[in-house]
Amino acid sequence: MKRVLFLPLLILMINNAGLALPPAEEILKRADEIRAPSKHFSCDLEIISKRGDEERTKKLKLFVGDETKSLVKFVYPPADKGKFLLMVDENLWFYTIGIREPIRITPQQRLLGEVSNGDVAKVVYSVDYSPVSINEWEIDDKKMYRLELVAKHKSATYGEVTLFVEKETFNPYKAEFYTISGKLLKTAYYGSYQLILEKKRPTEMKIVDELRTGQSSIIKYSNFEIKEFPEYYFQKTHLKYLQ
Amino acid sequence: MKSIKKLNCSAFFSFLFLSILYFNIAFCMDIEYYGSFVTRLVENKFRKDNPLNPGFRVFNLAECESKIYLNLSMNLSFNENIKFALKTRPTWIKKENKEMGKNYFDNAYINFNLGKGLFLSVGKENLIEGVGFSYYPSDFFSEKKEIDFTLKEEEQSSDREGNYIVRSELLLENVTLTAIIAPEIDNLQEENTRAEFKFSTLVYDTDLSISYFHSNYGRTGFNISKAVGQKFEVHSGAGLRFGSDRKYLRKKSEVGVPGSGIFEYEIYEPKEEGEVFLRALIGGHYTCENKTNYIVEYFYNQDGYDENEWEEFIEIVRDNSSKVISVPTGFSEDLFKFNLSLANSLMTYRYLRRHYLFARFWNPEIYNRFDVTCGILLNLEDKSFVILPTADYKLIKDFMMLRLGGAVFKGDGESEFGLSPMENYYYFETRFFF
Repeated sequence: MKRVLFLPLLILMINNAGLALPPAEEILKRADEIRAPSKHFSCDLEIISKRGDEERTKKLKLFVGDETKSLVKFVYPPADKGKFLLMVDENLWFYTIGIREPIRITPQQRLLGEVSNGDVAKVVYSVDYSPVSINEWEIDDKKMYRLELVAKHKSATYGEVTLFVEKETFNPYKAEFYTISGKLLKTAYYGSYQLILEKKRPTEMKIVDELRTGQSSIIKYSNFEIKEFPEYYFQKTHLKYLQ
Repeated sequence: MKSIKKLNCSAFFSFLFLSILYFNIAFCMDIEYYGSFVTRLVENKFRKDNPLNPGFRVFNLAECESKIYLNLSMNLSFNENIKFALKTRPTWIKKENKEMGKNYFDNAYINFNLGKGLFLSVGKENLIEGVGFSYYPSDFFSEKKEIDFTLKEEEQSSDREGNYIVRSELLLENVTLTAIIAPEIDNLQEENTRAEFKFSTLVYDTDLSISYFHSNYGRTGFNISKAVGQKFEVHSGAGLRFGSDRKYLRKKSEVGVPGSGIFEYEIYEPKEEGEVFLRALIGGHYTCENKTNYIVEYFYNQDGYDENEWEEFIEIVRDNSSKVISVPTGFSEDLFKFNLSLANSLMTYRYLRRHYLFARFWNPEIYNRFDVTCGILLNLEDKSFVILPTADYKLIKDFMMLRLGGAVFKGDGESEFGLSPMENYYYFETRFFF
């Protein structure tokens, strides 16, 4: 009799153990590690903004130091050459060689199309957002973790982010970006996973404008390279020495 | 002299070209260049009833101007630690039937990375200091530089000749210490030897810089800027001057018989050493979700005329203007024209008064192709203003841009912008980027 009572209890325990969700911080960290191959790296970015049949393109070079610091060099079109975007913690500056001193900018100022400064300069979520809830979700027969993230500070690009992470691989699937008041601004879809620096990583992020239907932009990532940069590389006053 | 300048210019470019070729072959030097080729047509409309130039009798200005220039930036990296930066603007200008060519060197300096965050630069550099869009209270090195006010505010400081300087800079974590010396050089840099020491830092999320500038009199600069939330940026800058370059008109001598009441005037620069003059700016930049940006800035210019000084200036203009139209018997028109030309020369310095408001809105991506801007500069004391609209159209995958812009000056004949000889100007520009 005792055995009979023990059996369903055991099944319940095993089942619960299987259902127990890993800590949200751990999922976020694993998802971030897939987006950013290292704390120090560089890669090329191509932003394609679409309006109906028309396309506009920007090409950038991204340098990341210690996750919280990044430098974006504008490469294309020629009108953008000599421009830089610098992020240190929650601070963002924009610099054009020979035009002005680096100026303070906000993360939501747009670079092109649906892409904001913060979308390219900030490479991981855990620096700016904390998970407040986690649950399971299913999209296109794929099992996901659905993480609700809230901004840690006022200078985060968005007030709230809902991040969908594939349960099996921890691959980021999509992210919904909200204002502080809870209005959905944009949705980002991660795709074109390729084997880069020993892991499958997304090489495309499609950003859909939820306020203006039919408008979207794509960010393509390529040429990842793990490299350390000197500390002064990410200083505002060093921007004038960059060529 | 012109031929010597031309010779120097062509010799410089030949030397540059050969040096690049040599270093490129010998040291596999990295070369990066970019810029734009600009053609610009300007149509000016002048005020016929302007007290400074009644009936166009004092001077005649060109109604049409064309300007063609190359804006070339070139960066040469010899290795990780030695770089050469060049920004030059060979320019051709045609005003009515007069043509002139000039080459400007905004930047031509060599920079050494001496390690451990220490940098040394030697050469000619256009130093730009300040956090504002419309006004730079602490931009001490460039106070006497020629500015093209027809450019967009953020571009006015870029196309500007540099200073010959030696700069050393130490970059520590979150702190930068800078020392700059711009020596007086015969035939190259006539201004007094100038020096600046600057401390810049990031305190939590706020940029701060404090500088001390030494020249004919001391100046102290202060700048602060920070982002507030996701869409708003605030900035403020100030420049304290322990002296001033203020200029007034004053009576030089009475002409004709004593008591004639007719005077020849002169420009007077009072020695105001020991007195402190403040220039200050406070402003903010807001970005909307639909990509429209708004900038509002208030600035204070204590070097400008106060109410009484302005009244005196206007009285001189009014008096001489009426005498140009109706010349008193026994006197020459040239005397009154001369007096008005002195007044005109003071008007070329912008910001003659003390309180101003600048506001601008723009959207850089209207229909994905247009960048539309409208700015206004308002004199808060006499309520005169300038409206500054521009519309940019990008084409050929952003390799080319067409710009239509202008300025409209509004105010009565006794206000700063109403006194401007120009009523409005419009320009059309094509830019090819490479």
